[in-house]
Amino acid sequence: MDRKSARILLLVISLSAACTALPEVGSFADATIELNAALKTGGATAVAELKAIDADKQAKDLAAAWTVRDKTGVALVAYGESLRAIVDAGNQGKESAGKLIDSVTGLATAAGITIPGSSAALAVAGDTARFIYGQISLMRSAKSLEAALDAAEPAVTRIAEVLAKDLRQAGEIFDLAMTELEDSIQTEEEMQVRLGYRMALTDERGALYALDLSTISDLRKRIHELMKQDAATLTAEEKKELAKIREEEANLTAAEARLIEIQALIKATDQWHDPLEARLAEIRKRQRVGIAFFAAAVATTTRWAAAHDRLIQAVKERRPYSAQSLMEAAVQVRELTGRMREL
Amino acid sequence: MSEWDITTEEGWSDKLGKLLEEADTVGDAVADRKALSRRFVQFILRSRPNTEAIKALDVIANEARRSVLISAIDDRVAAISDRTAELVLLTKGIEETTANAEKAAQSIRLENAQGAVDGLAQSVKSIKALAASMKDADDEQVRTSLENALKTLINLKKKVQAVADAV
Repeated sequence: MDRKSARILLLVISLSAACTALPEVGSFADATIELNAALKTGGATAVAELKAIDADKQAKDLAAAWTVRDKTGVALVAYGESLRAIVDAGNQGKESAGKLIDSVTGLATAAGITIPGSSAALAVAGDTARFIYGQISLMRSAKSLEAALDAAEPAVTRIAEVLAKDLRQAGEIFDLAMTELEDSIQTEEEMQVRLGYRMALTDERGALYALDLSTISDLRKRIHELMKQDAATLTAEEKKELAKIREEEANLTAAEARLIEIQALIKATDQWHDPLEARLAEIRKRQRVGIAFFAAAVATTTRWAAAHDRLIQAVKERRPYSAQSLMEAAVQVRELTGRMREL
Repeated sequence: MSEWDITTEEGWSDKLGKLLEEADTVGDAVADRKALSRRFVQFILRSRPNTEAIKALDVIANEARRSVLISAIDDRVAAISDRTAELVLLTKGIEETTANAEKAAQSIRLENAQGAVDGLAQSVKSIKALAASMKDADDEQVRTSLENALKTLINLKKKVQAVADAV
């Protein structure tokens, strides 16, 4: 090849490479790692809750089915990493070429072969080779990336659909199991008797509150007024009124006494009711966090598939790629995964 | 008047009958299942007095309550399991794509060419050692050196083959 041809070749390669900026796939690969972690946590969490409610068969079946999901998650991470490896290889073409040139030079030296030309000329030739391969590797990388994305696209789309369904249903299993856990605690033989008793007391207290005990002092004042008069001077109507409000006052007094008694009885149940409420509150908190976690995991799976689609379009159209919304979802699911593990 | 204002055993028995009918027709939605389970809990806690007959009703109610939740769990576990075979196939497809992508990355990194050159360098080193040993060493040293040279050349052949295959 003469000098002119070499220059034209360099120019063509430079122009091609300028249009071959590789997309930043690192965020997609990172989000895939988060998706895998969420998948693993989701399955393990649902299985653990099934075991907690003694649904052993269901726990065993779900664990067996989820082993495949775990493998899928690992395969997706490897896929994301392979995309990252292609892009990195493309961006590091110069270094790869340099390393190979150094090895060849080392080999020639070891073999006692003298490479013709001055050392300065050899350095220029090496730099040129590095530059040319740097551009070629960018193009090869873009082509390989597009091929990999195209090949994976149908499977990625379907896997995301399946995993989103799986995570949604695993979330429902978790929710149902937590409900069973909470309800079964309340219906344990000893606890149901205690709770039934306390419930009866609170129902009765509610009925007494409805009586409006605040009127009792007015009734007493009126009775006192009527009683101050000489009984012989009371009109028939006043006598009738006195009898009525005396009865009313007696009823309310009894109700007031019963209310005080009930409040004391309810307070006495706090000794076992407070720890029970604390236990149930913990279960409800875990349930809320779990529901949020599974919802976030489903959303991340859907966004992950959409981000893959956008990545394909970006590579085909040679335009920049952003996985920001996917990363936001991934960060949220990571936080919830952490909280799930803490609870 | 509350639906729980029941005072007789017959009344509680009728109430349980209605709840069991609801359990037969309850929808698949999680919210519906949870709501029905909670109504069974209310039945168990509110039914009184605690006679043997009422206790027997409570036992039935508790079994029905658990069944409402567990049958919904069963349905979901079965649905997840049903999709497993498809997922296995899809995962294989992704693994294949990944393997090809990894090969492409290796090729772009010139790993095969690098391996061939490294192998060649090792051959040169071994052959040099052989030459040196043949000058002033005994037969044992010569044999060892030859064996090393042979192994190196076999490795080199494999590397060169890999490069040829990649091209």
